Amino acid sequence: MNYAPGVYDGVSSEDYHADPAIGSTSLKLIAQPGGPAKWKYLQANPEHKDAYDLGTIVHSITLEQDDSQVQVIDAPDWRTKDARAAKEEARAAGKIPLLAKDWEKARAMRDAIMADPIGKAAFTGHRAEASVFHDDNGLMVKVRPDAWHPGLLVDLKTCLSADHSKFGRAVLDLGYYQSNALYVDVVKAATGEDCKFGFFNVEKEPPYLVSWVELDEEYIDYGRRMNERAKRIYRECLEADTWPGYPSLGPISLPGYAGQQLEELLENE
Amino acid sequence: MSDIVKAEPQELALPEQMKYAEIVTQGYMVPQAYRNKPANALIAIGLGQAMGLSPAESLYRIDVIQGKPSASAELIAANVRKAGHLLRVETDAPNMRVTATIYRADDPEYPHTVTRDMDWAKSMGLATKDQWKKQPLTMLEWRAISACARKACSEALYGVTYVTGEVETPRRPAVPAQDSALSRLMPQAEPETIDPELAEDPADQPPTIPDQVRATVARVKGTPGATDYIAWLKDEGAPEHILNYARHELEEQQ
Repeated sequence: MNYAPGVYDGVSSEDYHADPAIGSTSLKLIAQPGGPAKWKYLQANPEHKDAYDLGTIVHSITLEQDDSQVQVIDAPDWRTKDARAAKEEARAAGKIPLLAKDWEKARAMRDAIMADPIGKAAFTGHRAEASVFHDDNGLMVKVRPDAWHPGLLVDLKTCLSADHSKFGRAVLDLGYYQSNALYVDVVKAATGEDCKFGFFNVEKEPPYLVSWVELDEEYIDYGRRMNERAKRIYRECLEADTWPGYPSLGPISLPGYAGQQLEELLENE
Repeated sequence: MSDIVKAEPQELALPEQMKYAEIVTQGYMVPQAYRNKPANALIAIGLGQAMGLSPAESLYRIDVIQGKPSASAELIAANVRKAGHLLRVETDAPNMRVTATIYRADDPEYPHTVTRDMDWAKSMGLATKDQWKKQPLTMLEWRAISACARKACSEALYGVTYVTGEVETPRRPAVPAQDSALSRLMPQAEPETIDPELAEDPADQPPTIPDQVRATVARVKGTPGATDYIAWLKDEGAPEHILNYARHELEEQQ
């Protein structure tokens, strides 16, 4: 269904993602070179990666204390025919199959989050996964904050490294700064509430270290500008029904650092 | 027979430069350093015009950091050569050493020479910086050219005497505690104020004063050599924090 502008609780993940409003993941992709073509392909060929399952379950059991989605498969891995059959059966029933060891891991991650004072405060007494839809000059935009407190949105991230410096790289590479900007802007536009935004990160391997990260205003402003760029590109693509890949550009020059390396090699002959 | 005609940039009068600076600094395409800073842009445009650059080129090729203009080593070298001086740059890659030599047009027999090597970079606290680790020879080349040009023909540089990176960008202020997301979640908590990008590079931790500088400062303190040492540091292109340290330690004594 197409949701009208507003804030909705209890919208299933499937319904939220099925709504045609443009979300953070799409804008991040469209803002990049080749993004429109990749986005169009993924719309027609949605992909599911098993790697997402652990994160999805950690979100469910942490944000909503809900383990009804998970189907634990008692197998060491997915290599046996029985394990694969059980996995398919679980998916057909609308469940998320997890190996027993991964279910243990998901619960350990949840426990690590809640053992942290900031994690406990972030994921207690919050509004969980509210769906927010906003009409941005004729373009419907949506966000779904993991945890919403008065004046604060928190995004739970399961990651390889919660270390500030490494997570900082992910913020740039994976466009989290764009998510930050979109979430606070859409919530502000839809409700008038001025929110800050924080990332609560938990590592996927023991000892499941956690961290809290927030971005400064300059970084968020870059996200805002990238979102505006993505929305402009999306509008143009929609209007022309053309979804370009990479542009044809002029000749590429040898990068300065490579020139130095090659000169040194050639001189040493 | 065809002639190659080089388009000369159009010179703008000051009122036109001011109008231009006001308009372009409102755009996103202008470098971040000039965004909403028409006064800085005006200075760069003026400096660039003196060098024969178009207004737009000036904004991309000249930085104004902490009130000091800087440019690429290529632009500084071009200005030296345009003034008729001879500039030679010799790179000794195996020994990580670069020597720049300038023969002035009005004194062609006398070489002005500056050599930069990694020992010098270490003594200036530069060697551990990210760009110096990635492309040390290029950085040495830039510093040798700028120092030699300052020494031999500063009048040819139109006031742009430092290469990009030689003047340090001020560190961005940390997010104030009272305005953080964490303070909304846990009012009593102090948020961490680590900038991930800065934290990634140990060189970007609070700048340290090299032991060699400390030792020299201690040696010349209270002597007539103190003023010379500060002048030498300045001439050598020492980073701002080292210069400030030396001034603080030595000028108070005078």
